[in-house]
Amino acid sequence: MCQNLAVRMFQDGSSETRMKDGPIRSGGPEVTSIARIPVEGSQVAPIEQLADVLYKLPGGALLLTTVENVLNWARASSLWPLTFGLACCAMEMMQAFATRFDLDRFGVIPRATPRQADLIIVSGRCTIKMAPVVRRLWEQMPEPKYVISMGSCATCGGPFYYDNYSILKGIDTVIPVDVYVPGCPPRPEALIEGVLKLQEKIRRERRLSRRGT
Amino acid sequence: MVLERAAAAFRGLVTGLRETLRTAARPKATLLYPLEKSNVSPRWHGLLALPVDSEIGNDKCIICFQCERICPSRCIHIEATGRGKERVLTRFDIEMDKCQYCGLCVEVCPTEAIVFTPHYEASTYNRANLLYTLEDLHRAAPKEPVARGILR
Amino acid sequence: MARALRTEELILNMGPQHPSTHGVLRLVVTLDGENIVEVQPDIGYLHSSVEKMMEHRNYTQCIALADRGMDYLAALINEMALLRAVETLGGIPVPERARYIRTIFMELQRIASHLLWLGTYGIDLGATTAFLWCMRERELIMDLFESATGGRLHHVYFRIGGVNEDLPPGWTDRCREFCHYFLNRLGEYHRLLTGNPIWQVRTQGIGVLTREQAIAYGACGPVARASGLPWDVRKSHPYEVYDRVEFQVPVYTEGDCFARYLVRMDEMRESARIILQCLDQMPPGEVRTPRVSLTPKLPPGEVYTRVESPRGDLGIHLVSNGGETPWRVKIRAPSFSNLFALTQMMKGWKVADIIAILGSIDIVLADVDR
Repeated sequence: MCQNLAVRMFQDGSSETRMKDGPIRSGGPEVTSIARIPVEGSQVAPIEQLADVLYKLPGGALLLTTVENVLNWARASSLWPLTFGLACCAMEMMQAFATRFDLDRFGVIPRATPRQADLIIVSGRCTIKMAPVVRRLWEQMPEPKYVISMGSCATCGGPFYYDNYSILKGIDTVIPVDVYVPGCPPRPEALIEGVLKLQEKIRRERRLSRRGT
Repeated sequence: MVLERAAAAFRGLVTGLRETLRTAARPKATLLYPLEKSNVSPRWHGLLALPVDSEIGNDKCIICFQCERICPSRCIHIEATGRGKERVLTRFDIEMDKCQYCGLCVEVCPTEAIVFTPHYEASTYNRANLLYTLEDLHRAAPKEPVARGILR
Repeated sequence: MARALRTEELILNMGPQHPSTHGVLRLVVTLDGENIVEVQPDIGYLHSSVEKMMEHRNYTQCIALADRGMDYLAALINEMALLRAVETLGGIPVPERARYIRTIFMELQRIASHLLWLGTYGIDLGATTAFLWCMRERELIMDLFESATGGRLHHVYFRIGGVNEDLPPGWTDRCREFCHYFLNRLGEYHRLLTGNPIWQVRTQGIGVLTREQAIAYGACGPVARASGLPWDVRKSHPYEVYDRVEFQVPVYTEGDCFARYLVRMDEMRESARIILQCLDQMPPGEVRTPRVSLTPKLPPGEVYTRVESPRGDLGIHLVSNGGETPWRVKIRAPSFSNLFALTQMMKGWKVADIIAILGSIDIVLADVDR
């Protein structure tokens, strides 16, 4: 299962791991809005054709924006994460779901299967053996899906960056990440703040409106 | 025999339910996070900072490189020009995404220049924002404003 | 029909991502209908090359690595294991007050680890209330930790020759208050779970490990003590102040999941009693031997020392060649042996018992994989 991962080791003890044919998104420009523009000749879903038509009508943009706002409010208010804890950060994630810092107040209910989840909180260090599994779980999640990288190890390898042959240098080498929460481990309040930042990002998304721009 | 086991089972269930209902009547232990925040202890390992000392006008760092040497994650990068007491700091970067908040740099600093702050809310959309340069460390606060979500 | 139907064995993959495997463990289960024929664990999904990394860190930096790279639920006990090896090899003395503080923190860590186990075991078997209550108590312990060490889960509090700082004022009173409160809560957990018929049916008689099998597989900790093997490193090779406090080691003979549950509940009670005795006996004084450098050079040699972690017998084999960094550190992990005792415990039970048996041995995958 490791054939599709390429690992390069450097002299100073650091290393870089990437999927051989997948997106590389490590840091880079801040993505705060998503606009989908159909390519000539591609198959476009009926809802997007409807959005195209509506956009061109007078008052259509206002209607689309209103619908978009309602949809974004619904998505942000009920983010259902996959129960995915790898290492120590999972303990703080469990505390965040538990009595004192109840994440259920924000509509966040953990689901056991990726088919019903729209958020994956990668909490803990991901090894090279585990990376294809994380990638497959992310691919099994239906759109729209979001990723929170919790803790130092999931952000960049953290304390396991140097002199280490088996930990991925950040989970964003295999899946694109929306919010990074630093800490080792981050307090449950810090994780909740990360979820709130993701809610603000979802609020600003524009998937249906702004077509043709 | 069956009746005894059924009676024992019923007793076990009733005892459990009584405990649960008794707890339901007590005050709740939940902290409503963005609206009320708990006081972290004075020793809490929050984000690192080099606070500016008002008498000196600058931070208290004497550029001894002890923190860079002791850091287990090798996330502190210091560069200085000049020699001896005329050393001038050109670069003091801490990679907060690699930092494991262990406190060895704070312990080893001879002038207490590098300290922990009580801040812990530093989530960001972009991983490059977690590299704290000297001016971020002087400001002693997270780089982005704290999120409030869709609650107003 | 008297002529048997043609049946086949089914190979079921309980993959690395599963809500109840307590981490990234993959079990390849061979089933005959609902009965388990064979279980093969597939580990390595959390291998963090800790032993190799320790060869490139000096001993104080190794403490920072030990409390998150190995068993992360027993962070202070991992630090103690490493420091016991370092201080034995280097002949470094530790003041009395530091020994008492270390013992108090280790027992608090043991209670926190068992509370997390009880919470996750409860939620696996359906008792969600146990999870919420255990986490509430765990938050109180984490508050105690945070006010003394500065970290909730990873502390880096012990140093070579003692502990980092003395306890803040008022801490001992809060700790004493917590112990008395906790002993009451433990009675509540017993009333909630021990007499509950569903809990008893799901755990009594399930996953039996006999005493001979426990010895053969090298099982240790509560798994061995529930099978009649009275092995506890705190009694057999006492360290810190365990020979000065009175406590009992619970031993049961049935070897099933219910016995393992009772062993851990009794251990929590004994830990609270140890903490109360240590708080009474603790002398004033310094907490760190002066003139011990943060980067000492140990004399060449090797040593094997062991401590009692909540999972069992945690051993460190330290080889030094006279430098600031260890030459080789080998960690004997208790969860590794207990996991392979699982292959024996699961034979013959049903699919629904996999979760009950796996939860009852209390493994942490970072401890299995290191």
